[in-house]
Amino acid sequence: MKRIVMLFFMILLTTIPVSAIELEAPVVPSSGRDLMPSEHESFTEGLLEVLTDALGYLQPDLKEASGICFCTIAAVMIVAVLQSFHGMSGNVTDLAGSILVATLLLRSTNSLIHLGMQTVGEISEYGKLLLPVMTTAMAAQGGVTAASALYAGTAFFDAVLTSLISKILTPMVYLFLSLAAACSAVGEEMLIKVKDAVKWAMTWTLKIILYVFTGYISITGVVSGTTDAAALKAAKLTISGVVPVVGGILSDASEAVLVSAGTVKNAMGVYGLLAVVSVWLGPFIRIGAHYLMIKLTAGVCGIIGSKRLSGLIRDFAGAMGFVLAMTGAVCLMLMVSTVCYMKGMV
Amino acid sequence: MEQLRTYVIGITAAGLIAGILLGIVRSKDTSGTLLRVVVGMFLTFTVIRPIVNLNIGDINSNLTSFSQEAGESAADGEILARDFYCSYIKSETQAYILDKAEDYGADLTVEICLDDSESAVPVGVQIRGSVSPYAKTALGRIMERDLGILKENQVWID
Repeated sequence: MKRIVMLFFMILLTTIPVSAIELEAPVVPSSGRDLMPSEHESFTEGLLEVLTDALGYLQPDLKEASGICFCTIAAVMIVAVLQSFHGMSGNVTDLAGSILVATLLLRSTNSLIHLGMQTVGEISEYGKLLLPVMTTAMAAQGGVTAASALYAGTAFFDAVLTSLISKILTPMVYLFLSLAAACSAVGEEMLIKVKDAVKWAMTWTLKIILYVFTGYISITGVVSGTTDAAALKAAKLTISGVVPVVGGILSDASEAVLVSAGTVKNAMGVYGLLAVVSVWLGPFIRIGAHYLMIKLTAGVCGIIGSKRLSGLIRDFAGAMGFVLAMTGAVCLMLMVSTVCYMKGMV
Repeated sequence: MEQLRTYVIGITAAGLIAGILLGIVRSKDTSGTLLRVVVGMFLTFTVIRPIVNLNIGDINSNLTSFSQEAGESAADGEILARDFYCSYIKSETQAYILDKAEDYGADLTVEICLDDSESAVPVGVQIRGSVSPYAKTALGRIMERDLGILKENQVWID
């Protein structure tokens, strides 16, 4: 015991009286404050806390979604009963049923699309604050080229994706729903083709942006990481050529900068990751709950209702899934980029 | 982006209108064929016209501004690292001199001056406090030998 106490004091004596590099991650946006864990030094523990808290959001949303789905199933059943009567035109009942189902589902879908867009905006805005500090920390650690390339790439792809989502993909989701309603009501072959083309375009736009972003990150990571590593090696060689005692001090200083900047960068990265997850997870769970319930409804309606109406419900579920994919893509992009900053590439 | 938005929404809306029109008028006689031709021409015009007037200058200017911002943030990081590096070297060198001064029983305050090179090597020192001539000579020699600070750059203030 005595030895341990002695050792502790000896370690204290060897510490250097120099303050660390000071940088702070931007504070989590208000929408994510409720879910942000109190403990954000360990990513795993923080993530577990966020997930546990977020599950509490699930119940009220499932209840709300169940109500809507119940009404939708009832509407589809009524239409099916009406269609079974002789003398009722299939087209008229499909038209009326499509309007009814679309009206029932559109209200919640609309508010969830808005929620998704708001989340995309908030994650993107948070990214605009997080990326510069991560770049500064990574550059302080010696990864100047890699940090600049990561910042420029992420900011560009984030701007492109956010603009695409707010200006093109969201209106396209509404157009897709209009097309789905029109398909269900009219049953025209051309409308089905246009609807499928819109769905294909939306899906591939997201996929292509994520593929290109991943490719960019991989290539610039290798290229700029090598450049930074060469620059650091050259700096170390210069230091080793100086007078012995001074050389030791310079080498220690250089090492202290790397360690200090690395510690700060990782702490900010973990905080940033948890902040992004906190902002994203609440809306994701809300939209996800509705998505699953509408999918379930589509399955049930596929058994009891007409093909056109169950197709319309499936399309609403598809639109919901697409909103999930959009929020997920923006979140994923920022998280991948933050992890790349943390990994260092030098 | 605004052009692309107008383009995509225009095509989809045109498809929607065309589909509804064809869905309502389902006749397969001459009027139906004529309607299909008109709808086809309308869709072709909607698809091709904006491509001719496409402007991709916005993307280029966006890339330049992000590269500039990236450069500024990275420069901030370099300044931060440099400040930390220099303060570390100053405090370590200072501690080394004070440690040696203590061996000679001298109570001093030391200020270190670094050169402007990337390595930030200590090149000058300003020492305040009372010290014996013997200790002064010995410390001066140590600073020159161990730290590379030349005698003419060692300023002693009593």
